[in-house]
Amino acid sequence: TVLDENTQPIAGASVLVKNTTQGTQTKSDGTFSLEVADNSVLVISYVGYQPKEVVVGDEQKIQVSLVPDNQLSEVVVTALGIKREKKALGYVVQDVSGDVLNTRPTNALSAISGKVAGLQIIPSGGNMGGSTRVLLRGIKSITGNNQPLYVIDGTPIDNADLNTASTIGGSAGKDVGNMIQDLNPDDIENISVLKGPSAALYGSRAANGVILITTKKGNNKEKTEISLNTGIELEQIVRLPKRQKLYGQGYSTEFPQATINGTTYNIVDYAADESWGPRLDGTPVLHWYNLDPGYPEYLNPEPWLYPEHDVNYFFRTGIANTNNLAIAGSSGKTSYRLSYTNKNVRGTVPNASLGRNTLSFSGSTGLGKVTISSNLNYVKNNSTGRPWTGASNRNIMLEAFQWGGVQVDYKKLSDYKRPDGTPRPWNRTGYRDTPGDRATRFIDNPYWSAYESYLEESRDRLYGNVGVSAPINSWLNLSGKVYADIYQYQYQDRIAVYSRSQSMYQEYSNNFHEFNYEFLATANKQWTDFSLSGLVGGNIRDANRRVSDLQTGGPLVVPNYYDLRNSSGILANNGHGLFREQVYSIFGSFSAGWKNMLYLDGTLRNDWWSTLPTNNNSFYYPSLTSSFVFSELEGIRNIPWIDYAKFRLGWAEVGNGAAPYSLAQLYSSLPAFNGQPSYTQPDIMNNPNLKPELTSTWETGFEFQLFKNRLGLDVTYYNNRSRNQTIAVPTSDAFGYQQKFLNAGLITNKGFEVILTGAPIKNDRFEWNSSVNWSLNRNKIARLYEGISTLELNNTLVSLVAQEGESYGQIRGYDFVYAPDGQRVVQEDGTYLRTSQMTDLGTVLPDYLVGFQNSFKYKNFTLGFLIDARVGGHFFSQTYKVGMYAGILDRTAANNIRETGIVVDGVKADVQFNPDGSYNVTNTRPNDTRISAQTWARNEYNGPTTFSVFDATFVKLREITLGYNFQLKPDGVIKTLGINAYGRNLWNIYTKSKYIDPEFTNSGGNIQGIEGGNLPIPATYGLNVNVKF
Amino acid sequence: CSDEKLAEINEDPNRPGNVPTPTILLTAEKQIMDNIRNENFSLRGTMLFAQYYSQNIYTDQSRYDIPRSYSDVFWANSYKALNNLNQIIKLNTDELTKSVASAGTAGSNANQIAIARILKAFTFHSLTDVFGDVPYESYGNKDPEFEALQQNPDNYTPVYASQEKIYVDILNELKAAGDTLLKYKGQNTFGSSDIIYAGSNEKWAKFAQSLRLRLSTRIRVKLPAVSEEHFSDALAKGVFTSNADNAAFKYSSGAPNEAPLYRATVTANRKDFAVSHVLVNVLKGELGPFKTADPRLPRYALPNERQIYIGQPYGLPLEAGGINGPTAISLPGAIVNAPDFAEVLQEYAEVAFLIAEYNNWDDASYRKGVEASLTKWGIDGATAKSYADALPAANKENVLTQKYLALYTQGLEAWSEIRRTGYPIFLVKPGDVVWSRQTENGIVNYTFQPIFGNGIPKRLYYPNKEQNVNREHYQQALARQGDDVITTALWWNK
Repeated sequence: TVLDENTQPIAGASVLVKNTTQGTQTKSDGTFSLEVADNSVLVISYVGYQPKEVVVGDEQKIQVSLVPDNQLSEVVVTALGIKREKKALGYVVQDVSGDVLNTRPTNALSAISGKVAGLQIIPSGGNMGGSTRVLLRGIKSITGNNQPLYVIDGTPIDNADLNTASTIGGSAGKDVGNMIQDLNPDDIENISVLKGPSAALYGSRAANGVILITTKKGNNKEKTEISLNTGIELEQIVRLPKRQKLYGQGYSTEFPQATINGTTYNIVDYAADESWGPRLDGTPVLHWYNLDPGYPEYLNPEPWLYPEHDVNYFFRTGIANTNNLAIAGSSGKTSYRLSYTNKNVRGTVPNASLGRNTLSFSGSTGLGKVTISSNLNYVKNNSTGRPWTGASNRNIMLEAFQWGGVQVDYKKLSDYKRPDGTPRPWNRTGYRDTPGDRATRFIDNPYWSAYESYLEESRDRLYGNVGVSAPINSWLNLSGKVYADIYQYQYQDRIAVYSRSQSMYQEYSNNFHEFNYEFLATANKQWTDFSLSGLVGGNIRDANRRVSDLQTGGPLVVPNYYDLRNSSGILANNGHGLFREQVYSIFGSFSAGWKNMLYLDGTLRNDWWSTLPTNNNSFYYPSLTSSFVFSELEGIRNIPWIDYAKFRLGWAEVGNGAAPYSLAQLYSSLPAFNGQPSYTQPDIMNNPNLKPELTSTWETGFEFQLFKNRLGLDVTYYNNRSRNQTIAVPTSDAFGYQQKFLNAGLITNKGFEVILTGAPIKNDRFEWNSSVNWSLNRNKIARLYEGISTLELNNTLVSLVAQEGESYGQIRGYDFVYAPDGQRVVQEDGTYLRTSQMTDLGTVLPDYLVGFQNSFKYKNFTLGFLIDARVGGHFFSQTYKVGMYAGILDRTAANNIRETGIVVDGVKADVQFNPDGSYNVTNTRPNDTRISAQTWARNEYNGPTTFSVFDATFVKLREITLGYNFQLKPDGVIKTLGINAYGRNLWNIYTKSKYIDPEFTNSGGNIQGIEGGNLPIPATYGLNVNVKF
Repeated sequence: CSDEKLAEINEDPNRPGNVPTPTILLTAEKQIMDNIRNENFSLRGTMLFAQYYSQNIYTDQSRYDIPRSYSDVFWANSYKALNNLNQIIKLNTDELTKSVASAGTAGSNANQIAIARILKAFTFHSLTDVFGDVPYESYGNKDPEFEALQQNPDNYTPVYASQEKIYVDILNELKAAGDTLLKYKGQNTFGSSDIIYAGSNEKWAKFAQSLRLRLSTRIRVKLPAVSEEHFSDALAKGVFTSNADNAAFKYSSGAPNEAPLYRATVTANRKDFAVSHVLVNVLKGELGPFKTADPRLPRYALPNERQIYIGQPYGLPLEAGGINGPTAISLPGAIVNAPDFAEVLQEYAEVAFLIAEYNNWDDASYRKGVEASLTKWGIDGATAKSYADALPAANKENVLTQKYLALYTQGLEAWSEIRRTGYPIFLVKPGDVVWSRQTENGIVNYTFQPIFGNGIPKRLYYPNKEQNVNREHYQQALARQGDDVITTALWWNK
C-alpha cells in the first residue's frame, strides 16, 4: 500500500523495479501487487512527492509512505479542479491561501488585493458589501464586464452587475454590488488565479481569467474537528474631502433680514444650498431650527459659527461581528464539513445594517468503487439603508461635500421630523411658518433620507454541486456532476411623502438560476520516463433570469404606507422581463510529461450558443502550453545554488457568444397614453449577423528558485488580442439608433508580471518572508469598426471614450487654452478660457501596480503588512467640481481669497479656434483682472474640465496583521488557539490627489475613473479569535 | 441540441417583433413634443432665451451657461422620433408589410406616409433651427448629402447637410405631403392614436401648408424666390383659418404622461421657473409698444402670494437669483402648468401674423392674430376683440411684438423669430440693469452679465457625443458654418 503524509492511500503511484521495466501502478485504495525477487529495489514515485526506494525482503506486504516534495513540486488547482504539479504547467497560476482571509472582509476578494501580480482590485467603500472590481491583465472586452469567471469547487458563479446605468456612470444610484460578495471568507481554503491560457478549458466566460476558489473540506483524519472563529471589526469613515470652516450658507456676505411678529432678525439665505455666505463670526441669527414653533429654540437667535457637531457627527463607527462554527470529520470512506457563519454589520451611516447567514456543507462518501460528493452553500443576506452614490438627494456626499451650508449642526439635524410627520430641513424654502416655506427646497435632511427614504434588500442564494465519480480501471475514471447557482435578489426602495423628490415605492426582484451539467472521462498513465493524462468531457449550461421591476406611477397617496397600489398607477421599468441562454460544449485535453523535465499540454473546446445566429453558433478554440524544467538538465542539476529553473510558453484562444436577444430587431413598449398603446424602436439596433468573439493569448516566462529556496523569481510576458467583440457600438444618433450591436474591435493587452519572493531570514525562531508583485499592462485599441474610430463609453458627468490607437478609458473634456509660451489664456472677464472642442485629458488606466507583502514569524507571533501601490492613471471628480462651485471645499476659503479676490495666473490673448479643434493664440498681454472668489471657483466648474481631472497614483498601507498562536498540549481539549488583530486601509502613505481618495468604484463594470460622490474607503480595525477542538 | 431549439431559446419573450403603425405614431408625436418642451432644452433653454421665463435660483442658464448635455439629449431624442417616423414609412412602403400596415382603421399607405413626412419636416426644422447644419434625410429627395437615418446599408457617421439644402427640402416635403392629404382630405389616418388631429387628413394638410408659411418666411432674405413660391402656393392650398385648426399635443393627466412643465415642477417638486419681469411688465402695459393691460396676463402667470403679478428679474447674478423666493413672484399660470396642457406645434395666431408680415404688415391679419391668441387662452370673444381693436396700427414692431406675446410656451419658435427679426426690442441686453433693490446700504443695481457669449445665443453647441463618434463630419460642419460656440449665426440668420 502506498500512503501519503496523511496516511491516505495514493492512487496511480508508479511502482517500478529499479533498473528494469517491470512495474505497475497503485489502485484507488493505494494497493499494488508485484512479484519480485528478494532484495529487489522498488522505486515508488508520484507527482508532488519525493520518490522513495524500498528494498524488498521476503515480506508479503509492504507499506510505503511518501513524503511531499518541497515547494518546487507544489500542487495547484487548475481548470476543472484538476490538481497539477506547478512545475508541469506552461502558464502562471498564482494561488493565495485562505489564511490571508484572516481579515474577513465583507467582500472576500478585497483581501487578495496586492497579492497577485496583474490583478487589480478596486474595492467599494464600506462594510455594506457593494461592488469590487477585479481586473486581470487589463481590459480585454471594450464594453463587456471584463470580470473573471468565478468558480467555487467547480461551480461557476454568477457575478452579474445588477447596478443601473446611472449608478455605473456615477451620476446617481446605489451600488448594490456584484454577486461575488456572497462568498464567505471563513469557508475558503485556497484561491487560485488562472490568468492566461490556463483558463481555456473553461470556455467563453474565462476569457478574462478564472478565479478558482476551493472551500475547506473534511480532513480524512478519522476524528472530528470543531473550530470556532469569532471576530469583531470596527470601521471608520476617513479621508473625507476637506471642507472650509469660515463661511456659512448663502450667496452674499450679508445676512438677509426678516421681520417676524414685529421683531427684525438676521436670517439665513434659504435660496442657497451653498456656502458663499456670511463669515462665521458669531453674529446672532435665526437658524433653520429657530423657525419651528413649538420647539424651545423658536425665534431664539443663535450665533453664526462653525458647528460643534459637523458632518463627522453623521458618520458613526461601523461594527461588524462575525462568528463561524465549523465541524469537520471523517469516518471510513465518508468525510464531511459543515460550517455556519453569521455576520452582523452596523453601517457607518445611520440606519444602515446588513445581516448575512451562510450555511455550507461539503461531503463525500464511497459506495464500493463509486464516490459521491457534494458541496452545498446557502447564503441569506439582508440589508437596510445601503449608502447612495452620485447626484442623489439621498447621498451624504452630495448633501455635505458637494452642496450645503457648512454651519449646519448635524446633531441638531438628527431631530429630523416634526410632530406632524414632515421633515425639518436645514434647507427650508423660506423663513416663514407656512407649509410652502417649511418644505425642503433642494436637499433633504440627511437623517430624513436615512430613516425615511431608504432601501431594503434581501438575497437568498443556493449554490453547489452533486457528483459521482467512479474508476473504471487503474487509469480511467468517469464522473458526472450537476452544478447549480440559484438566487433571488430583491429590493424595496422608497422615497417618503414630504421628501424633496416626489414620493415613490419600487419593488425589484431578480430571480436567477444557472445549471451546468458536466460529464468527464479522465485517464492517467505513467511509464518510466513518460506520463500521459487526458480527459474528454461535455457541459450543458442553462441560465435563466427573470426580472420584475415595478414602481408607483404617481406620488404616494397615504404617507408611510409602502405598497405599489398606494398611487395612481404602476409602471414597469426597463429591464423587466425574462432572459434565457444555453450553451452546449464538448472539450478534451491532454498532458504529456517526460522525465519530470518536459511537459506539453493541449486543450480543445467546441461551444454551441443559443445567443448567436444559427449559421454561426458553433465555434471551437484550442490551447497549447509547454514547460521545460531546465534545472533537471545534467549540467544545471549540479549547480548548488540553483534549486529549480523553468521556462514556459503557451498559447490559447477563447471564444465568446453574445448577450441574449441581440439578433432580431424588436420594438420596446412604453406606458400607454390615455389607454392608447405606444411602441417604439429601441435605442440599440440589433444585428442578425453577429459572430463569436475571440481572445487569443501568448504567454511566456521563467521561474527560478535559488539559494535553497530563499529567493524566487517568476517573470511573465503576455500578449493578448481580443477581436470581433460584440459591442453595442455608439453611433451618431443621426443614424436613427444610438447604438448598434457589432462585431467590432481589436484590442491588445501586453504586459509583464514579476513576482519576487524571498526569505531573507529563516531560522528556528525567526522567519521573514517577503514578496513583491509588480505588473505592467499596456492596453491599446488597435481598431474599432469601419468608419468608427471613437467609442463613447460614458457621457454623463464627463466623456469617457475608447479611441483607436490609444489606450482604453480616455477622459475627454475641455482643456485650458495655452499661449505659445505655455501660459494659460485668460478671458477678458479674468477667468480661464476653455477650448471650444473636447480634448484628451488622460486615461483612467494605471501605468503599473505594485504589491509588497511581508510576514514575520517569531516564536508564536506572526506579523504581516502589505503595501499596495498604483502608479499612473487619472480620474474625474464630480465631488471636487461641485464642491468648488458651491464654496464647500477648503480651497474656496483659503488665503483670504473671499475678501481679496484673485488675479489668476495666465495671460490675455486673442484666440482663433479652428475647425479641427486647434487654435492660434496671438497678441498676448498680461492679465490684471481681479475676480471674486465665487467667479474664480465657478470657473473651475464651467471652465476647463482639466480642473476636475486628477492623477490617481497612490501608495497605501493596505493591511497590517498581528497574530499569536498559543502553545497547547497536543492531547488537550483545545487543539489550537489563535488571536489575530488586523487593520485595513489605515494609512494613505501617498496620494497624488489631495482632495479625493483616488480609489473608488461605482460598479464592477468597465466605466471607471468617474467619481460621482463616493464614500471614501474606510479604515477598518478588527480582532479574530480562532479555536479548534 | 438542434439549431431550431437554440434559436427558440433566443426568441425574446419581452418585446414584440411587429406592432401596428398607429402605436408608433403616438410614440413619435409624444417624443417630438417631450423633446421640444423638455425641462432642460425648453425650460432652462429656449424659454429663457426668449425671456418668457426667468430662473429664481441657479441663474446660470439665463446667463447662457448652457450645459452641452442639453444638446445631446435634444439631438438624440429628435433622431429617435425621426427613426420611428421612418419606420412607419418603411412599413407602408415595403411590399411585405404594406398591406398589414394599412389594415383596419390605420389608414392608407399613402396617407400614413404623408403624415409621417409632415412630422419629420417639423422635427428636422426644429433641429436645424437649433444647431444649423445637421445630418438630414428626405423621403422625396435622395440627395447624396442627405445621409441621416441610413440603415441597410448602415451609415453610423452621417455627414451634415447644409441648412440651406435642408430648408429647401423641408419645404418640398411639406408641399408633397400636403398635396397627398388634400387629395384624400375626407379620409382618416391613424385614428385616435393621433393625439394631434385624431386622424383628420384635412387638418394635417392645413398644418403642412401653415408650416410652409413659417419656413418660407424664415428664409425670405436668403432665398426670396423659393420663399415666394412656397408662401403663395401654401396660401392658395389652404392654411389654418381658426384655432380649431391648431396643431397641438394635449398631454394626459395620468403618470407618467403629464406635460413637461408639470413634470418639471409638480412631479419634480421644484419651483425653479418663474415668469420673467420682461413678459409680466409688457402684459401689464408698462413695457413695450402696447400701453394697455393684456388680458392674457392671468393666463400666462400666477399672481404671487400677495395676489399681485411680479415678474422675476431676468438674468440676475447667482447671489441675487433667490432673493425673491418663489412665493414672492409670479410662477407660470395654472393652464400652462396643468398636467394635460396642450403644447402647441403651430397655431392659427402665428399664421395670421405670418400673413400680416407677408402682406407688408397688414392690419386686418394682425388684429385677427391677436384675437385668435386671446381666445385660444380662454379669453371671451368680446374682451379679445376690444383688446385687439384698441391696439395701435400694424407695423413691423407691433406685429412682431404681438407675435412674440402669442408664441408664449413655444420657446424654440419665439427664440428663432427673435434671432431672425431682432424683435421685440425691449428684451434685456448685456449691461442692462434688470433690478434695483433697496437695501439698508442703499440701492443695489443688478445688471445682466452673460457667462458665455455677448447676447441672446445664436444657436446651441453640437452634442458632445458627435464630437466623440462623428468627429470628422462635425469638424466639416464647423469649417462651413463657424466655430461650435453659441455666438455663431446660422445660415438663415447671417
